[in-house]
Amino acid sequence: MTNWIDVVYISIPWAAVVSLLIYFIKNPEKAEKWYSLIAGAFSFLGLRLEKSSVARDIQSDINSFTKDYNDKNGISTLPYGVKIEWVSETTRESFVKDGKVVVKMKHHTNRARNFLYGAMDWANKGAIPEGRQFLHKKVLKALDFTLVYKLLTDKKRYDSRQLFLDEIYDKEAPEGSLVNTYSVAFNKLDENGIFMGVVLPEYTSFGKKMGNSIPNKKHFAETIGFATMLEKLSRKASGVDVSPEYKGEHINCSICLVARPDKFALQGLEPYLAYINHCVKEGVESIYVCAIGETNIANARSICNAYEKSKNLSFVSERIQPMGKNRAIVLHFRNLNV
Amino acid sequence: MSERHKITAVHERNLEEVLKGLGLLDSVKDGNVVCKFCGKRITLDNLNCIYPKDDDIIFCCDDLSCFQKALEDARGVRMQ
Repeated sequence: MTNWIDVVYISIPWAAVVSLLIYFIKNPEKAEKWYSLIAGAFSFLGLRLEKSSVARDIQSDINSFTKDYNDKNGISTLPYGVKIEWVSETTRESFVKDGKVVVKMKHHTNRARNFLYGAMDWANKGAIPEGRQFLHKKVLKALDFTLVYKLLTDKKRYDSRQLFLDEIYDKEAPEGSLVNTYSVAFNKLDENGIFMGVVLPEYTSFGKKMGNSIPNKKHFAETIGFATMLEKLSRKASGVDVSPEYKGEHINCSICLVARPDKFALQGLEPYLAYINHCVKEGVESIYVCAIGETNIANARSICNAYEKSKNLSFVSERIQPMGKNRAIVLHFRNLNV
Repeated sequence: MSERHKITAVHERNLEEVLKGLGLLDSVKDGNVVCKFCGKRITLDNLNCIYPKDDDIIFCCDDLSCFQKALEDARGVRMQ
């Protein structure tokens, strides 16, 4: 009997250690977060620990953000995480040859500023990596700002977010500017999951389609045209008709909003299926069914089920994300006739 | 995670060594370097980032809107 108790006493701590190890192996960004805190506490022992603390504090939150996003969506819209590479000495020749931006990071206690530097640098390269050159500069800036703002909010980096608003957003996106208009619209659409579920994937897909072509005014005009449609959609009031379609040369999509349980209860699937079938017939390439709240999500799923055996539409992905106390869903379909 | 974008950073405690290697430490200490975007005089304290462009070395101050411009400038965001 005593032996059994001994075994249990020995096993529990080992089981806890093994569980923790498995958890950290599966979630390396969480391990980085803990390492950052420990290294920060012992940073007085040397510069190596100090640098580790700064680097891992930035890496852990950005990498978990990109992982969460890509895992749920199944599309690598944010394919890059980050890794801080320290430089402690260089020569002019190698510096010019490398061509890199070298950012000065402060002592690890300046977490807000260091993290914001990392987030901005990451967004400037990590978001829509293949398509940045083809996007209109103001659309691109609004996308970057929305993404950085979302990262700072999701990761509860409120001190960095305040710095971002005071020192960047207010200056670079003043009220009435196009960057402000698009940023406000993208942020509003994010409340329904549309920013991460539709806007970023469509601009990413646009960039991929461009391949080797040289950016030109037609590309910029198309990205502005899509942003303008999204902006109108973001201001849509209940019961008011706003076209949720954009038919450009490369961006060709439609958003079907499932937002009224009363309409669904009264009319069922019919109006939604009629609209989607109309899009298929009109040659819309991508169709997104979006809903927020459990009732609407269930209704959106029943629309999805109606196309299970369709020869015209193929199901691409389902993305669910938490929106405050609610959840939002974006179901992506591709028109097989285009 | 398939790929990680490298952020090249210098810790503030290594800044002097890096500037010395570039032959620019004295210029910064003497106040002869300015931010490309706002024209503010660069010091060891307010320097935020450096990058090469057309065989020149560009300095940017710690104003975050200058940093945003520097990132765009370094990555060649096209003027439209």
